[in-house]
Amino acid sequence: MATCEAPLLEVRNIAKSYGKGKKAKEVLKDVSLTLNEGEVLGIIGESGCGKSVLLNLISCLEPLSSGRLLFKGEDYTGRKPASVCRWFQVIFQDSEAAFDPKITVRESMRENLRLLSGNVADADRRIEEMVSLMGLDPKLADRYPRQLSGGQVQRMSIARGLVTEPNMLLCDEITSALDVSAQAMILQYLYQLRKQRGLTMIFVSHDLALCSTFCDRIAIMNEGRIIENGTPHQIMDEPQQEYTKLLLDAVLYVR
Amino acid sequence: MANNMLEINNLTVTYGDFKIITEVSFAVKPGEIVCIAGESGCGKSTLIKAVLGIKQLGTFITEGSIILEGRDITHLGAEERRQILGTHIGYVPQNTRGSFNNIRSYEVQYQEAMRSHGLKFNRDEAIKIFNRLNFPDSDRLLWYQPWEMSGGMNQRMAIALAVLLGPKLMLCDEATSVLDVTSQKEVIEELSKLRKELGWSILFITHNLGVASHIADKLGVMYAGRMVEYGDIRKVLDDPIHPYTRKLLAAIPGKDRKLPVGLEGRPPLDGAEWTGCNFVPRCEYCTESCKTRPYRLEEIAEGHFASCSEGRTV
Ligand SMILES: Nc1ncnc2c1ncn2[C@@H]1O[C@H](COP(=O)(O)OP(=O)(O)O)[C@@H](O)[C@H]1O
Ligand code: SF4
Ligand SMILES: [Mg+2]
Repeated sequence: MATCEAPLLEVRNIAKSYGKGKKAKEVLKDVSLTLNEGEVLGIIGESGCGKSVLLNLISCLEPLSSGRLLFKGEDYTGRKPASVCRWFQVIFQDSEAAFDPKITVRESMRENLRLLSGNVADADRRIEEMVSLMGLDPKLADRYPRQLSGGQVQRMSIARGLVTEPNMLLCDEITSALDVSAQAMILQYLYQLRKQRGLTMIFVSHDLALCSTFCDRIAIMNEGRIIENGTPHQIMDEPQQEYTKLLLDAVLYVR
Repeated sequence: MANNMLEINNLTVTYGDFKIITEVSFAVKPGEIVCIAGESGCGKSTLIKAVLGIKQLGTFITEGSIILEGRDITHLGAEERRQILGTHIGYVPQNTRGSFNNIRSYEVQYQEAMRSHGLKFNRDEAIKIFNRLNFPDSDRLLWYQPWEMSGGMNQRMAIALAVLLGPKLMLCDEATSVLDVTSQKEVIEELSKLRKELGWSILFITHNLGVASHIADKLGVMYAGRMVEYGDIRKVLDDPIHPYTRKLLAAIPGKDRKLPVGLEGRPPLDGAEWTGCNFVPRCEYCTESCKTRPYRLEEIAEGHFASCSEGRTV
């Protein structure tokens, strides 16, 4: 018998406008995506092209103007963010700002667990497991955010996202403010997570070279549209769109 | 004529009592582009501030000297410094929005900048430069105000102003780092072109070795306040000597699409104060003697300097 398993996430023809009437500005235009369990999708585009808005819409932080969102085949368009935060955890570029500076990282993670799953029974064990998975000493969780380096805070915020066991991580330029050595550490641990736990992820970035090292598929965004979508091989070696070629041409590899 | 456009000799710079960079030496020859690369906090910007001599920023040179075309400018007075900034030394920061006034036309700001150096602003001359640099809409550009422009266009307007002021040495501090890749490429190409046509010498500070590899003749790698490797760009990139340089290169996503390799930990904040090697906590080749090994940049191969060559494979 044929199984008709729905993809984990389906984004169908969504659009988003800000403002009304003549002043209306359409920042996302007819965007469609599907993501299967265990897949990592990179979304690449220059600043202002709509990458972050797209993540906000997927995680219900903002309402859509049109289109539909489906999770495992179930339509969740128009839901409250609180009702989908068990599916999606969003990680931002500036993680230090996303941690409360007055409490330790561990307390902040406990808080997250309590809010999202109400289950704090073995909180510490789960926190320490995730912190170790990100390659950090669990003792570091007892520090305040400012006592950690930028790369460590970012890894802690991924760990915090993971303790609640979401179905998917939505990463918004999470390595853009970091040094390359710290960025590479994050990639290594995310890669491990994929291998060990089949983590599903959308990885938004402006760095095509970076995404080509570990994404299954890459979608190129320009002015609110996804103009091309393919495997790293297709995008990097056989780009179809002029804009993709332009972006590729501007990547300055160390030569 | 002096042999070097800029000489940095054994420079030590502090903020208050706190050493930020120590014993940095290198030179920029006329027409040469020297890139200094390294991760955040290694002292790259401090080096630029020291050359600009902006005392208000709190930098203080405690040792060494800075020589511009044979003239010692290490401790130049404020008035003399004002005379050379702009006309002898040009400067492009990471974000020129901070140096232009956002809500006044470029024309007014170009005029003022030139007047303050006793130069006369000429519209046609400015437009000629815009055309030469292939700026779009060159006839009307001067009427715009910085807020109406993209970050990339703003950087290019700052570079065009520098052309009008006519310095021979340009200092660029992460001048392309906040730009999108396409505008980054434009700015890089522009600077290369101006170097060729006007003979500019450029000291280009960046954390991006990809950018450096496309623009530089020489490359210096800094770590926690010290220059750990220096030499011709091809030598440093093809045959990196210092353990840190090799780690830095391995962390950069490459054309092979292999997962880059990271480096655990972070540089010590007081690295410039250490007596021994300050890469000790992160170095896979570290031995007991490294902790007391004095810092010294040695010529390992011709024109290629490093402060350690442990683990180098030739
Ligand atoms: N105004 C200041 N007062 C004290 N320390 C500073 C100041 N500005 C920068 N620093 C410190 O100096 C070191 C080098 O900074 P900087 O030259 O800006 O590094 P880079 O440009 O390589 O990122 C860092 O540790 C930084 O925290
Ligand atoms: S001196 Fe020792 S610790 Fe420092 S870079 Fe060389 S081998 Fe590594
Ligand atoms: Mg800097």
